[in-house]
Amino acid sequence: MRIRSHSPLLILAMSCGVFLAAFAASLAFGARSIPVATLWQALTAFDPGDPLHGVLRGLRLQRALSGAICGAALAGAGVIMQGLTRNPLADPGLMGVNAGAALAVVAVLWSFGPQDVPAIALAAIIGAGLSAAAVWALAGGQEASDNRALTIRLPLAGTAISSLCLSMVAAVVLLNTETRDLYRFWMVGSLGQATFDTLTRLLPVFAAGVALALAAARGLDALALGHDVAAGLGARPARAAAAALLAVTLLSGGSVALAGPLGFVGLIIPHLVRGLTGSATGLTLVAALPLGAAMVLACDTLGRVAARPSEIAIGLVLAVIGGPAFMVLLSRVLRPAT
Amino acid sequence: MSVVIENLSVSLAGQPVLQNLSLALPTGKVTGLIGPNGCGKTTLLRTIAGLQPMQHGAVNWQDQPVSALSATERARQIAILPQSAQAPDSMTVADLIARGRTPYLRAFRPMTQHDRQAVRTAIARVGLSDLADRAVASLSGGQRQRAWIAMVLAQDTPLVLLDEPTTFLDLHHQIDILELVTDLARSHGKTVIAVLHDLNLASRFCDHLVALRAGEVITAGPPAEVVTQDTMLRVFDLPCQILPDPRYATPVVLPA
Repeated sequence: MRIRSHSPLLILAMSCGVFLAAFAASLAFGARSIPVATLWQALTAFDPGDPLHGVLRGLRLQRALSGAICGAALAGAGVIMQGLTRNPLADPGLMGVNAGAALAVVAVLWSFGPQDVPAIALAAIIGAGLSAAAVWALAGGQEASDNRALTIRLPLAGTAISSLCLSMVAAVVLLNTETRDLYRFWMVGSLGQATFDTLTRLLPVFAAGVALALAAARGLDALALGHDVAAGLGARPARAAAAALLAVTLLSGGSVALAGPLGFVGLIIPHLVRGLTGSATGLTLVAALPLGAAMVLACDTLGRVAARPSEIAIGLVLAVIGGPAFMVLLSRVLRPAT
Repeated sequence: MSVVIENLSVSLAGQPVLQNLSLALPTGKVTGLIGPNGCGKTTLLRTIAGLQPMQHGAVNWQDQPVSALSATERARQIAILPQSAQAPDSMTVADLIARGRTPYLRAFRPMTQHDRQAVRTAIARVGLSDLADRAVASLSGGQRQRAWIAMVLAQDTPLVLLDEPTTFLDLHHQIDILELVTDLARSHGKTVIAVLHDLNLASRFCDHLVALRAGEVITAGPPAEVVTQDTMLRVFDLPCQILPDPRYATPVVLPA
């Protein structure tokens, strides 16, 4: 396989361009379309009297920002996860965050009945964190001097913890109809409920996640060559792996708290971006952030336009588009290199 | 003597691998570590590189204990190429070699002009400039090994450790790699320590040999003094005859 290297600036410019287009589309299209000129006016010269401006500055902007942040976070988490496990099809969900968040949300809904969005978000992020910590401990993360052992045990531990959480979720949901209806709504993933308030509170989580991911990038580059080579290059394998997993947990935990479990973004975007950027984790990460955001925004817009004036939950759109895309990628990865 | 090892003992999973080993290796020369499988050659190499914790003793590099160096300082002094290292499928030759600059990079900053120059020089040095954009996985075994050696060159360290750099290569490529390795010492003044299996090639290309068995040094010195009937019997349990190479006068082992 011959690999063409593109200029990093070109790649970044392209991904930011795609993101801006998707962001504009997300603001413009919906239950009712808003002309681009009005869009620009609403953002630059806000008129409180204009109902279209209100829709834009209130609901649409809120929604677009949430979608962008979730998409960027999931794509970033995917880059780090695939780099760490040296598995080009690893998913950030391998840390068990989605299942952990689901269990916490169900536990809260079951115990206390319907909750407002910030409370659900808080439960989700605590559940995500606890479950990631359990996966880390079960995989023997703290004493894993050999990264290869960790890359094998981590997916197994993640699968075990996820199954455990999801079976407990199933038990509660089967026994309790009221919880099931509340849970079902959260489970499909939706950007419609995210508010500026939740967004602002979760912002430090995302910021810390991105910072840690960037800091871990160079260590992961060295680790891709194996534990001994990495150590010989002066990287600290154990520390890099710990930082990487913490970054994955913060990014995907923040995202699941904001919009529920969204699949495929963290799987597909890193994979596509690596085709352009090659093996440098730092550049792949920086290019994946805007493209992940663009994918979520595009799918969300599609879900709103396709079912006007109602909408299809983003989780479902992602699954319908992401599932086949994943199968195509899988068949390409499995095909031997020529 | 740049690498000085004193009373070194190392255990792996509770089993002693190296016992009370003392050794001094010459600066700017190629030293070959020879011995049967499992005698502790790789463990010795990893310990010199500071990758293997030791139970007892000291490894000094230029009068300083290796364990006192920070990970980055160490990586600017000592480069190690482990046995059959593997690059990710999609990684290009240039990307792999650029990883050698890791100990010089500053956090969140791209490579400097100087780093890029070092990478280019290393690629040219091993004759892979034309293949720089190819995937490492698509190279032949010999080219791949040259790429890894170029990564070590880009690391620009005075001490270079190589674990079986010629394994899985045909004879032609073995000689090719060993010529490259000896040139590191002869032309660039680097100190090279390599684990080698082929005794005849080791005798021809190394300035100094260390024969190990069961974690102990049996003998060390110039090839002519180490590769003898008596030592081969003690190290490998191998009865053999030793002839001088007709061209290089180095010892050639003929198993009986």
